[in-house]
Amino acid sequence: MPHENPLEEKKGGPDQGTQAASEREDASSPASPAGRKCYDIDIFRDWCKSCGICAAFCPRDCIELDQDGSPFVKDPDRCTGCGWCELHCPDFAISVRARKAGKPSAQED
Amino acid sequence: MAEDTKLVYKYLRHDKKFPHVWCPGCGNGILLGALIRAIDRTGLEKDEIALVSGIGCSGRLSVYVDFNTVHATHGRALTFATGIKLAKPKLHVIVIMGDGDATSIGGNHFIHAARRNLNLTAIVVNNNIYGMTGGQYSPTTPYGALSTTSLYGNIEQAFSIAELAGMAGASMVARGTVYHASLLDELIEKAILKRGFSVVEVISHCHTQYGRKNKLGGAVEMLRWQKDSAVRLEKARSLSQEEMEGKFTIGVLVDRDLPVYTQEYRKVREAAKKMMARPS
Repeated sequence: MPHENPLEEKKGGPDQGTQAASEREDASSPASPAGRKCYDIDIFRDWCKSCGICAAFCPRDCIELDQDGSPFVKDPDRCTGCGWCELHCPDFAISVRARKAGKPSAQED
Repeated sequence: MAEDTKLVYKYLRHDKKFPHVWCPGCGNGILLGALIRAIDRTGLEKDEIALVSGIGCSGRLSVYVDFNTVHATHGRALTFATGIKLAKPKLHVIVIMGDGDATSIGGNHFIHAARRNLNLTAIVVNNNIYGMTGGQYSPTTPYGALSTTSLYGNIEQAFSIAELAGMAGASMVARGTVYHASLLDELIEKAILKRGFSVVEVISHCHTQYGRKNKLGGAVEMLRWQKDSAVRLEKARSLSQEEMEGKFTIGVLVDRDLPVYTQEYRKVREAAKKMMARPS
């Protein structure tokens, strides 16, 4: 289990983003609770037209847009595998799949 | 999930025609996804389906699928579909039309196909405008909305496609949005399996023409509008008229069993055969 450093919490300050930030750290740490399924989001660049729907509606903010407006997977470890992006991608450019045990995140390629 | 992506390989001409021609964020792409998921759920073979489409952005849909397809003339998708269904009643004929295609140029065909109650599935993509031809107002453009042919606001009242189809006598009428994609899968699946004329009105968005002209934002903002304005039928029953102001209901609006044209026609043929066999 990850142990949060109390000093770090203080550093975060009392602003409203603190809780979300600490949650994010929890989920993305390699020691996230055993048994929790992880997912990988693949974006097929050849078909993607950068409409931004996936980034705008992702309930866990896994996908964000870069400077050019193209989506990239910022934090695949936060993905719960709801599949919203895959269902709503007008260009069939996203697929969400369960990560196989022992396989590193697609982002680390 | 990844299973949905596998359907792309099964049902779409992924090696020839993609990426498709629609604008970034277009609802037609989401509808195409919902359509192949619905067809996969029904368990029908690819050869058992004939997909007919009219002219317009949504008309391009037939190009991308690997079924028996016809890209028909403007407004006449239903007439081609009627011919196909009568010649080969075993085929499941699905018709894709736009709002202008179905209710303006093909308006007469639409109401009479509904009245005749032929066993067809009509999917009408309603994006409130003629998108492909340059943003002219269509019969579903709301009152007061701007378009390239209504620069001072549209002075005509809009059609409600679902209500029109219901009044014209369709067996099943449903309305969905591309935002509620899972519901759309269910509605299209039900419509394909329904015996009789079934209409699914799909509320979509044209941010390139309608959204830009009316300052409604891009695809994301227009999808948010769908999310906020669509009310499920079950919930809408408990809301007052004021609360429903500016909103629309989604779900199965009409579902009834009426005599189907092909069955009735068979009766005519049998009666005629008996008449002919009688010694004169």
